[in-house]
Formats: sequence, C-alpha cells, structure tokens
Amino acid sequence: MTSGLRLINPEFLPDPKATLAAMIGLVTTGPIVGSGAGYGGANLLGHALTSATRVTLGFLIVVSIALPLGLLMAAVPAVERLLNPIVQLLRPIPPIAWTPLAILWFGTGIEAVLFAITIGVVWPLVISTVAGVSSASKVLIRAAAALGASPLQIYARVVFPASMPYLFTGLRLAFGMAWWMIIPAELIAAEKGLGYLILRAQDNQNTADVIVGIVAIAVVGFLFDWLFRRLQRWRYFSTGVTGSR
Amino acid sequence: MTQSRLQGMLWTAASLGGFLTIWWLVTDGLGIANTLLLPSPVAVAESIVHLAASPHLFSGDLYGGSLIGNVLISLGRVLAGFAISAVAGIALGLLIGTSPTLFALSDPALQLARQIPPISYIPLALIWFGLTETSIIFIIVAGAFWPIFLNTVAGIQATQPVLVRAASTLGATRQQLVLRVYLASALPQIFTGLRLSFGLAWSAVVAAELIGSSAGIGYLVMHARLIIATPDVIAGMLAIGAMGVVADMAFVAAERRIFVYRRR
Amino acid sequence: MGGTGPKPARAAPGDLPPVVARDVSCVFERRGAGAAIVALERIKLEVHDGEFLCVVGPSGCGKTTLLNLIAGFQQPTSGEVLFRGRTIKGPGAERGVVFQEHALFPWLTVRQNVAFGPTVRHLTQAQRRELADRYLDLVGLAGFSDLYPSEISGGMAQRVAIARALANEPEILLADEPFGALDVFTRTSMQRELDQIWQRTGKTIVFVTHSVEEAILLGDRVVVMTPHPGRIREIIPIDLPRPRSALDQPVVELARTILALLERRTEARVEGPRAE
Repeated sequence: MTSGLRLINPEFLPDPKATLAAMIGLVTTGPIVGSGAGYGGANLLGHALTSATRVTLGFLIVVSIALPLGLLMAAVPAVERLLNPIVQLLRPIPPIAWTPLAILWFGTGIEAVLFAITIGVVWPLVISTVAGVSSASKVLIRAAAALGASPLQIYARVVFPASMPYLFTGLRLAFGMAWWMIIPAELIAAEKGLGYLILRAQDNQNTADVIVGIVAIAVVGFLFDWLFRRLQRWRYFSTGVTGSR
Repeated sequence: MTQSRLQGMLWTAASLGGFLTIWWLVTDGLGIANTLLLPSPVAVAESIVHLAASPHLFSGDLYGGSLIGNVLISLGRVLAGFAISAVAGIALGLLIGTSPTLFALSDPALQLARQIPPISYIPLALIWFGLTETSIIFIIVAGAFWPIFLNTVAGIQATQPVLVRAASTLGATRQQLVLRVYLASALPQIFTGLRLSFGLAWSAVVAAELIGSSAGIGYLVMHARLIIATPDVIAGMLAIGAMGVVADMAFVAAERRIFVYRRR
Repeated sequence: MGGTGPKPARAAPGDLPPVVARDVSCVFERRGAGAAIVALERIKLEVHDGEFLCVVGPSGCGKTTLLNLIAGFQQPTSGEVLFRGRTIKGPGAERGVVFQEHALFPWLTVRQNVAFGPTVRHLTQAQRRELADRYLDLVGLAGFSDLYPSEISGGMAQRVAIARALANEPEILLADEPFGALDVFTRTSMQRELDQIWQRTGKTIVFVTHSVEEAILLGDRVVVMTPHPGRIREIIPIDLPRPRSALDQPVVELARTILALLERRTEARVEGPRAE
C-alpha cells in the first residue's frame, strides 16, 4: 500500500519490501554472531541475544535480591516496618531516571545497564512479593496451625505455595519491566544490543532498520512473556489460595 | 491520633532517619565514598533548595530554568500526551471491547505491539519528527496509550451479562447499551488504566528528555550528569519521584470521590 | 440485542393473548458427548391477560429456557413463541424481567435504577421521576431512593428490581426464580408482597420457580413441567382465595398432588420407557 503511490514520503514509512529485505539482511549476514554491516559487528539475532542475555542476567540479580527481601519482610513485621518507608521513598523514581546516576557510577557499558535494571525493578518486585505472601488465605494457615504445624513449617509448606500464583505474576511483570528498561538503558549506555541497534539505525536515517529493530524488540518481549505464561501453567505455580486451580 | 498511626509514624521516622544517617556517615561522616559520585544528603538538600528557589522559571541559569520550571515543562508534555492517549484509548477500547469480531482480529497484533517499550520509538520519532515537541509527545502516547486501551477493553469485556440483559428488557437500544451499560460498568477499570497510564507517561517523558531534549526535568538530570553535578542529578531524580507520587495520590483521591458506589 | 424502544399500549379486550407458545422445541447440541439436550419438547402454552401463571419443575425441566424464549434471550429450535400474535425476536420493553440475581446497575442509585427504563425510552425528567417514585412507593422503599445497591440488603434489592421492571409499565412481567437467592424469612415476606403488588396492579405475571409451595401460594394456574425431555406434564388451576398460607389444608393437598405428579414421572423414567 505504501509502495505504489508516492503519497507518503518514503522516509516516513519505508517500502514493506525494503523492510523485509532489511530484516532478512540483518538476520542472515554472516553466521549467527557474525558481522553485521554497520551495526558494530553483529546481526539482528546477535543483538537480540545480547539484549536477551542482559535482561535475563539483570532479572536474576533483581530476583535474588528482591525475593528473599520480600519474603523476609512478609515474615517479620518489624523488618517490613523498618524497610517499607525506604522502599516507598525510592519506588516512585522511574527506573529510567536512575540511568544518569548509573552512568556516573559505572560508565557506559553493561554494568551501568545491569545496575539501572536492578535498582529500577527491585522495588516493585519487593512490594509485590510482600503482597503476594499476604494474600495467602488465612483459612489455610489456621488449618495448618490446627494440625500442629510450627510457624516455620506453616511458612514454608503453606504460605509459600499458597502465594505462588501471585508471586509468579509479580515475577512475570517484573521481567516485563526489566525488558522495558533494557532498551532505554542500551540506548543510552551500551555498544551492543537492540537498543543500540535502533539508535545506530536512526543515526543513519535508516527507517527500515529502525522498524525492524522495533519489531524485534516486540517479538523478543512477547516470547519472554509467553515463556512465563507457559511456566505458570505448571501446577506448582498456579495452585493458589484455594489449593486448586 | 490513634496508637497505631503514631506507631507507624515512629517507625517511618526511625527508618528514614536511619537511612539518612547511614548515607551521611558513608559520605561526609567517615569519607568512605567518593563524594563526587555519591554526595552527602546535605549536598543534595542544598541542591534542591538552590534549584527550587531559582528565580528564573524558564530561562537562564544552568539548566535553562529552575527545577519548578523544568518540571512544569515536562508536566505540560505529559498532560498533552496523556490527553491524547485517554481519548484514543477509550474510544478504541470501546470499539474493540464491544465487538467480539474486532477483538479476535486485532488481539494477536495488539499482544505483540504492547510489548514495545515506548522508548524504542525514540529513534523512529527522531527520524519522523526530529528533535521537536511532537517527538516527545509521540513517545509519551506510545507508552501511555496501552494501559488505558487494555483496561478499557478488559473492563468492557467484564461487564456482567445479566446487566446487559436487564437493560435490554427495559428497552435500551444498542447505542444505549454501549454507553449506559458497558461503558458505565467499565468505568472503574478505565480509571485504573488512566492512573497507570499517567505514571507511564511520566516515565516516558523523562526518558525522552534524557535522550533528546533541551528542556524539562529529564534534560536537567542528563545535563547535570554531563557536568558531573551529582547532587543536582539526585535532586532531579527525587523531583521526578515526587511528581509521580503526587499525581498518583491525586488519582486515588479522585477515584474515591467519583466511585462512591463501590464503598461497600 | 437491543430493545424495541417505544412503550406499547395497554391490553384491551379482544387483544390477542399476551403469550402463545406453539409446538415449541428447544434443542441444545452438545459438543462431542453425543446426544443433544432436549430442553423443551413440543410445548403448547397460552398465557391469559391479568393472570398470575407459575411454572414449576425440577432442574433441567426447561422452565428457565421457556422463560428465556418469552423474554427473547433465546430462540426456539422449532415452533414459535408469539407475543400478541407476533413472533418474539428479542428482548423488549413490553416484556419486563426480574432476574434471580437482582441485576441492579451498581453505579446508579435505587431511584436511578428504577428510572432506567423510562430514561432510555426518553421520557421527560418529570415523567421519570414520577414513575420512579410511584413504584418505589409501591414496593415500600420510598425512603431509600438515594442509596446505592451496594448499600441495601438482598431482599430490598430484589424489591427495587421489581419496581424497576414495573416502572417501565410492561404488558407482562417475567420472573425467573426471583426469590431463590433470599433466605427463608425474606422469601416469605417477598411472596406476600408480590401477591399484593399483583392484586394492586393487575399485571400479567409469568413466574418460574422450583418450589412447589411457592407456585401454589402465588399462582392462578400452575404449569407443572418434567425434565428429560422438558415437557408440560399438567396445568393445574388454583381457585383458592388470597392471601394463601403454606399451612392451609388445600395448599398442602395441592402440593401433595403436584409432587406426586413429578415423582410418577421420575418413576416412569427409572422403570424404562413407556408410551405416553
């Protein structure tokens, strides 16, 4: 539709054929992590993998901090009361706003990106973890207590499994946030990855490549989300408050 | 004041007090950290005062204006983008939510499109619109549109069927059903979408300004980094956070007043 | 699914009967499992103006399906259901409905709910207000007009639902187990109220219930239905004076008769198919 009539300036919306060719070109130039013309030595797949790896790494870091912290806060009210004000203070600062500080502290590069993701996503994840644990049905807890379980047993065997669906959803959303963070972080602070790719494409006024990059971002984000949803179907993650699905 | 509220406030004071004390100790007190990179809380406070009290709202000074001036510029952009997103989101949401066929057709594409962080549109916006206000507003809309749209669709699809039947037996036409039942029923969820969307818009404007603008709070933070005025960077970050909180509180208060019928 | 819009005229003598079901069958195909469900089989029924008609039967006898057909929420697989001689194509303001869940609009006050019908039919502000107040008064809830549905009890909500349906001045009122979700005490007082409302307004009512006792207490005629397939077993006229009580001897007798009718049908099913 956009290729026939010259109504729309080709700069605005590139010829779909050109876009498709660009996509194929970006993917197929060289072996998977081979040379990509003008994009810092990697083709589309390479950049996508870079971004995906980074976000996964960042996510794992965030989870390893936020999950134990959240569980601790939910278990010991004193800890929650002490840490909550700090969380509430820092949470409103959008992850992207941490990027300049991250660059100041770590320079441009992967460390800054990881730091920005971590500091940005940790607060919502902590909060949703605490909320998830509190959502465990009181009835189940009382039933376990009446059966003679100790507080630790109740926490491990009842509260934790019962809050799984809520927790898992929190994890999925946190990952989505991390993915949303990786692109701007790469725009500002990196020399590889999808964020970097679309910025270079824009530098070269290459609309087709920018759109390809954006589509790739959407696809990867979608794939990750789909992965989480599939995992969530696993019984353990979805038996929740009532003990059945 | 009730006892639990008093207790709550004491805990908050202890928590924040402890946090600030540790921060101060690490910087000015014991000199552990490089205060160029991690300024003491005192320096940050000074910077806030200085920036906020700057006489020139929109011009001169280091950042082309005071803290408040830049915040206002960013806020203006957010409001513009938010308004556009709200109108488009609700209108399209109504359209797609009330038509099962349209929904089935568009769902796969929409599921994909919503995964795109608004920031990714920056290069595209720069090519299309250059370094202009339109660019920034475009990015805001790219992000803020989704919560409103998705929540509108979800809210409409969650309308209880018996309410639709009841309205039909009372003589409502299709158009009346859409407006008086579907839309009315979805309103609380639409409002949630608006609240989420505003927060997102705020993030988006900061990101857009960080990358490509010469005014606004995002620009202020970016420029402060370039000249390594770290207290200003932190001051800017706090201002950004504060604005987000204020906006969210406003939404929650409005929600409570408008949706009186959900009280129980 | 939309309404018919303008308010129809009142019934006059010589009018065609409000509802006629002619050879109506309603069959639901079942995916995979094989045999289709015959919700209704060759139903013949005629509703008389001004009567209180009760339809009673156990689960699966098709009474709710029959009501849905009259209300216009479903279409029959064969046969036709007519309203004043014209095929019913969808819901309409001339056939008001009271549902089991009160189905009040939670975002509107009690008065706004009752005025909903007049509002969508574009009556004037004054007319709406008059109708709403009149029917709220009829159900005894005049002082609660400005409350929201979330702030009133289940029994009160159901009364509002009745007022809402009546305020639209329909020609007939359809009720689908309206008191099924209420506790016994509320239910008994609601039965008495509906009885009085019917006597005062003279509205034609088609009332579906699974309680034999309720049907006898309220109905001029009781349509007894049996399941698998859904059929009308018998239509029993009730000539007792009102108000009736569940402890009256004639009521008890009738209940016994109807229960026997329903049981015999069940026995027939257990023994094996028998020519009807």
